[in-house]
Amino acid sequence: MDNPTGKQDMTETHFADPRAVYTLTAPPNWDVDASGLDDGLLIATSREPWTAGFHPNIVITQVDLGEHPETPDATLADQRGAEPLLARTLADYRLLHLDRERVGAPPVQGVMRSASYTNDDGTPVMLHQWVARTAGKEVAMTITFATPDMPHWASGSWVIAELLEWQTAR
Amino acid sequence: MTTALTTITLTDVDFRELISAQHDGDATTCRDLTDTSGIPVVRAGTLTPEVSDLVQLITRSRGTFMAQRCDSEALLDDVWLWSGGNGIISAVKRRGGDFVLTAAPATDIYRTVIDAVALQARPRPLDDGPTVKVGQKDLTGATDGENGAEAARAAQRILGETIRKIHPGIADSLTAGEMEHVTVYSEFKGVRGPVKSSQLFLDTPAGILMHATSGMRFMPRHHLTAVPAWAVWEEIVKLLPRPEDFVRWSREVA
Repeated sequence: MDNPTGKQDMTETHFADPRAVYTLTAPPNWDVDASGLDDGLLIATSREPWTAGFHPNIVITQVDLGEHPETPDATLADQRGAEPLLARTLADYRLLHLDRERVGAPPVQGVMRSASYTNDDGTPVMLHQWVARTAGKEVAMTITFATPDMPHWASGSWVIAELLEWQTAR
Repeated sequence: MTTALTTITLTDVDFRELISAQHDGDATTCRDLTDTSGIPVVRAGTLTPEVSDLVQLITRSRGTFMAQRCDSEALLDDVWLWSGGNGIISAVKRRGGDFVLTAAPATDIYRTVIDAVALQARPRPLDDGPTVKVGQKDLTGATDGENGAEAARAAQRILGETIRKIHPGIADSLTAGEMEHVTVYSEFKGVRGPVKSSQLFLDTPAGILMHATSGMRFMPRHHLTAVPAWAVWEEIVKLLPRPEDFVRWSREVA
């Protein structure tokens, strides 16, 4: 299925919570699971399956930075340092992009990663991930979709990243 | 009892003879062939039981994909990939000249193609979507080794100066001859319609330039755009069979 919109409510899915330093705008009719938010975890999932029965999803983690520096250079260096772990834990992992990028609104200098891998179900998927540090937190937003849907989600994921709004700026 | 193989290695000559022969099931017009490790491939006009399933991934395929990666001096990678109802088979030319043929499930197509085109992370473009018009003569000269490596490098230097306005780093790479060009070609009839298209991109340590044309087909204008690798991947994915194509082909096989 390529674009499972059906005849449903086309209102975007919004999520805001005082515990999160961001507000998320996801596509219409996505489920949001905030049960892990006390631990900094938010999961939003498309109700409808897309190609290969895969449900595109957004996973956001928010962690305290502690003594870690908030600079973009430090963010990029730490993400580069995470590459061996990703290559070891994700099957068929292939990194396609890892560099500085503006994240959210208003833009915060962070990092964008694009990578291909095969998930535990054997489905080839892509992850597009944005990582930014602001107000003492590191926020990582990972959007995962089936690789055949790349022509839709390559740009769609960027729209979601641009709509991520930092509450710390208010 | 014979064990079906999932990989064989053929010399360049043997590989090309095998794929250019006429095939009907296990019957073939190909002369006797043997894999480089001694495995019999064709005997007396018949595919051997060990390789029958593997070779029929080619002869009964429904889609063809090719990728060639070159620098100024030589062809670095030559990869063929066939798709069909029983999965995919790739033929990757080694530096020594032999082709390694490997059968795999359809879901391996993405990893296989990323490796075939050696797509990897490069620095992000300086701005969003910087595009520059280039002359056909300069582009062809920079990506065509027929006139020799020095002529190609000279054309790359000219191309570099054109690119300098949108990306000095890539321009420096082109001037230094640090460029590989990758051409992919794909052809199949998919559920969504026929695909018969190619894509060219220039890969440098400083970034990637993706080629596009505009204007009239018989007199196209050529453009190069500085893009991240994932944008190249997006264009290549459009050229590949989709899961529903493999499903339809597998039903036709059954």
